[in-house]
Amino acid sequence: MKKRAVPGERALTDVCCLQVLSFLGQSWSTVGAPSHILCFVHAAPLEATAMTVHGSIGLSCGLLFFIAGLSAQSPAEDYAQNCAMCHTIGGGPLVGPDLAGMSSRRERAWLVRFIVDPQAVIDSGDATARALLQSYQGMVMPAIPGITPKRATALVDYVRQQEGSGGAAKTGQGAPAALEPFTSREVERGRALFSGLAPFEAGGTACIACHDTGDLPLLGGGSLGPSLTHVFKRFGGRKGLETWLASPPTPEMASLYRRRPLTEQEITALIAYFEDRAAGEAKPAAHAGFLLLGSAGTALILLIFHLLWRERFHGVRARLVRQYRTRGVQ
Amino acid sequence: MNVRSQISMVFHLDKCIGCHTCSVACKNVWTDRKGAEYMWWNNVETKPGTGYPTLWEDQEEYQGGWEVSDGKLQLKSTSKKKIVFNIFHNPHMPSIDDYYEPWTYNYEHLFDAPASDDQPVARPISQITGELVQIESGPNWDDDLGGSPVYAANDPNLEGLSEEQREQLSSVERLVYFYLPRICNHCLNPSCVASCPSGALYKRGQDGIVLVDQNRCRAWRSCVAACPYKKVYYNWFAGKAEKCILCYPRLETGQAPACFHSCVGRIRYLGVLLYDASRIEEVALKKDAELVEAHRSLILDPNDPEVISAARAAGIDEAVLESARKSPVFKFVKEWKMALPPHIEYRTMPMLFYVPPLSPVISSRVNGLVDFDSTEFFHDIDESRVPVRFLANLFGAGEEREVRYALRKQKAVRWWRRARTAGDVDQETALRMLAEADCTPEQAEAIYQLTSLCTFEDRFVIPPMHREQVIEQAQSPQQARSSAGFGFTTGTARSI
Repeated sequence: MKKRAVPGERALTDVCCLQVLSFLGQSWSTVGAPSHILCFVHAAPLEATAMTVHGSIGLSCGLLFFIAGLSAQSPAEDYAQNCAMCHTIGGGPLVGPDLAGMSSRRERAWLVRFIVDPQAVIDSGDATARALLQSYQGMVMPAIPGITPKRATALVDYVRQQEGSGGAAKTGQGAPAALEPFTSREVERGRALFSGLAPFEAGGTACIACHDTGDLPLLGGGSLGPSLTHVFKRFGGRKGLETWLASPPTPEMASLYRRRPLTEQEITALIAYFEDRAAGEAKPAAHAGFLLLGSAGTALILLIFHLLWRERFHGVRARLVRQYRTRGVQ
Repeated sequence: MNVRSQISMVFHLDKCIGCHTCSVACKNVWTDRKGAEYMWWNNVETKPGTGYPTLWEDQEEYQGGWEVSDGKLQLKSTSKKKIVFNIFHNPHMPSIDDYYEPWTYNYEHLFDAPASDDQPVARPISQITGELVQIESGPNWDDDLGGSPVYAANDPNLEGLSEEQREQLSSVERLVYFYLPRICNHCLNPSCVASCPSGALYKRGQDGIVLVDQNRCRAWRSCVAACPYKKVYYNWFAGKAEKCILCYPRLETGQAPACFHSCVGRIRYLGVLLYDASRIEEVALKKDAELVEAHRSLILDPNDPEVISAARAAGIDEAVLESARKSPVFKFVKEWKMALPPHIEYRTMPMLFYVPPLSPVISSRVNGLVDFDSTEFFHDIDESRVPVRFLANLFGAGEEREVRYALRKQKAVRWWRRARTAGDVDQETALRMLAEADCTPEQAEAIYQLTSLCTFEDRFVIPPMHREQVIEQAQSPQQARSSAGFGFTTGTARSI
C-alpha cells in the first residue's frame, strides 16, 4: 500500500525537514554565505539559492538597461566603459583581441552584428566567430547592456577613427601593470581578499561566494561562477586581468562591482594571487571532497533526526502481521 | 464543592450482541463524508482483540492519556518542551494502516466492462485515492475473533494472565469473546482538550460534551495523539480534527444519540451525573488501585440536600437536577456500583461506564446441570471463561476488586430472579447470595427492571438543554433576530 498524506503520515516529517532546510538555505543565501554549502544537504536549498541569485541578476540587469537608456553616451565614453577593459587599439591583445586594423579585417556589418549579440553570431555557426572563440579559450565576448545597432555602429566608427589617429584609447585603462614578480605578501593578501578573510574596501562581495581556485580549505569556493584557477592565463596575464577587474563587463560581475569597485591595491593583490595559482600545480577541483562531505553531512543529519525521534510511532498492525508470519502458525 | 452536570453513559456489556447497528447508525449520520471515510466515532470491538485502531490500548506505542510524574499530571504525548521538537509533526500518531484503508468497490465496472469471456467483477478501490487496493484490514477486522493469532493474541489486556489462561481463551469448546462498543468517553479530564495548541477543543459547560471548534482547529493533531482511546480523528480533506459529538443536536431536541437510539440489544443508558469539579485533579493523581473508587467518589448524589444547594449556587437548572435524580447512569455507577470506567489508569476520568459481562462458566456439571449447591456461590466468577484478571485490566486499572463486585451482583440478581420465576433455585439460597453480593431484594428488583424491562424513557433520561439560556450567555438573541439561526452558518475553511 502506498503512503499518503493522511493522519499519522510519517513522510510528513521529511517534508517538514525540507521546509526547514530550504528556509535556512534562503536566509543563508540572503546574507551572502557560500551557496553550495547547502547544496549537498538537499536540492531544494540549492534551488532556492539559485533563484535568489538569478532574481538579483535579473533585477540588476534591468536596472542597467534603464540607466543605459537614460544616458546618451558619446562613443568615447561608451568605449571606455564597455570595451577598454578587454581590448586595446594597437596595444596588443588583452582578454580580447587588439582592435587595431579591425575595420580592414572584418566587414562592417559583421562587426555591428557581433557587437550587438556575440553569442548569437557564434551560435549561427559563423566560421570567423568560431575561430575567435577558439583562439580566446572559449571566452565569449559579453554583450554590452542596452546595446543597439546604432551604438554599435558608433563604436566601430570610433575604433576606426582612433586607429588612424593613434589616440588615447591605445592601451587599456588603469595603471600599467608592474613587471617585477609579486611578493609572497601580496599573494597572501590576494588570497585573503579572495576568500573573504579580508574585506574589500568598497564592500564588494568576496570572490569565494561564486568562484573557486582549487586551493581553498574545507568546502572550497562557490561553483556558481567559473573556476578561477587558470584565469591568469585565460585573461592574458596581468594586463588583461587588471583591466577586467577594474570594470568587470559581465552582467553578474557588473551588478556586484560597478557600484563597489575594487581599489588598485586590491586588484594588484588579486592578480598576484591568480598568478600564483596559475603557476602552482593544478590541483583537481574539490568536487569529490564536496560530495563526500555532503554525504557525510546528510548521514549525520539523518542520524540526529533518527535519534531525536527514535521513540516515534512506527505503525503496529503491519508489525503484528509480520511477527505472526515469521513465527508461523502455532 | 464545585458542582457540574454531565451527560454520562452506561453500556451494559452483558447485553451487547455485537451487531454493529450503532456503528452503522453513526456512520450514516456523521462520517459518511469525504475525509471521514475511515472514521468510526462509534465502533464495536471484539475482546480479546486489538480493536480499532490496532492496539489502541497500548500506550507505550501511542503515548495517549496522562501520567503522574513528580506528583503532577503530565500528558504522555506532549509537553511544552517536546512540542519544540515536534512542531511540524506529532511522532505518535496512528497511520492509516493502523486504522484501515477505507474502501468501496468499482461497481461501474460491472456496467462499463468490455465484452469478455469472463464475468466482470467489482474490485475493491480505496476511498482515499480511488486506486485498486488489496484489502488488508478493516475497522472490525478481528470481529468475532477473526485472525485471532494476530489480533486477539496481542490484546494488551492479557497482561498478567497465566499461560494456561491465555490458552484457555482460544481453546476448542472453551473459546470466548465479548463485545466492547466504544464512543468518545467525554472525559472529565480530557487529554485531547489539554493537548490542543490552538485551544480548539473544549468541554461544553452545560452538559460536559467534548467538542472540537471547527473554526479554531489548526490541524495540529495533538488531540489525535493525546486521546488514549483514539477517539479523535483527523479529517484529511477538511484539515480538521473530528470526534463524537454525542449527537448534541439530537440531545438538544430531546432525542437520544443515534447509536443509543438504534441499539438493538438496548445496552445503552444515558443520563445526567453531577460531579465535583474541584476534586478532579486530586482524584486523577491517586494510585492505580484506588482510581475506580476515587472516580466514583467524584460523582455526587443529586438527592443530597448539600449537593442540591451547591448545584443551585453553581447555576444548574432545577430541571437538570430533577433529571439527575432519575438518571439510570447514576444508579448503575454510584448506587449499584455495577458500571466501571474503561482504562481509568489513563487518568482522563472517562464518563462512559461499562457493566462488565458475565461469561459462560467452566464450572462442574452434575447430571448435565450446573452445580449450584456449592457452598461457595460465586465460584463460577473465578472460573468464568473470561478471566477476572482480563476484565480487571480493562475496567479496574488491573485491580480485580471492583470488577468482582460488579460480576457478583449481576450473578446474584440472576439467581434471585430464577428463584422468583423459574423456581429452580430456592429462595433462601438466592437471599444468601444477594446478601453476599451486597444487594437487597429491592435493589435486585430495580436492577432487574432497568436491565431487562427498561423502556426508552428508562434508558434515556435526557435533561432539557435550555439552548435559549445557553445562547443568551454567549450572544444576544436580539441582535440575531432577523438572521437564520445561531452559530456559524457558513462552512469552515481548510486549515492547512
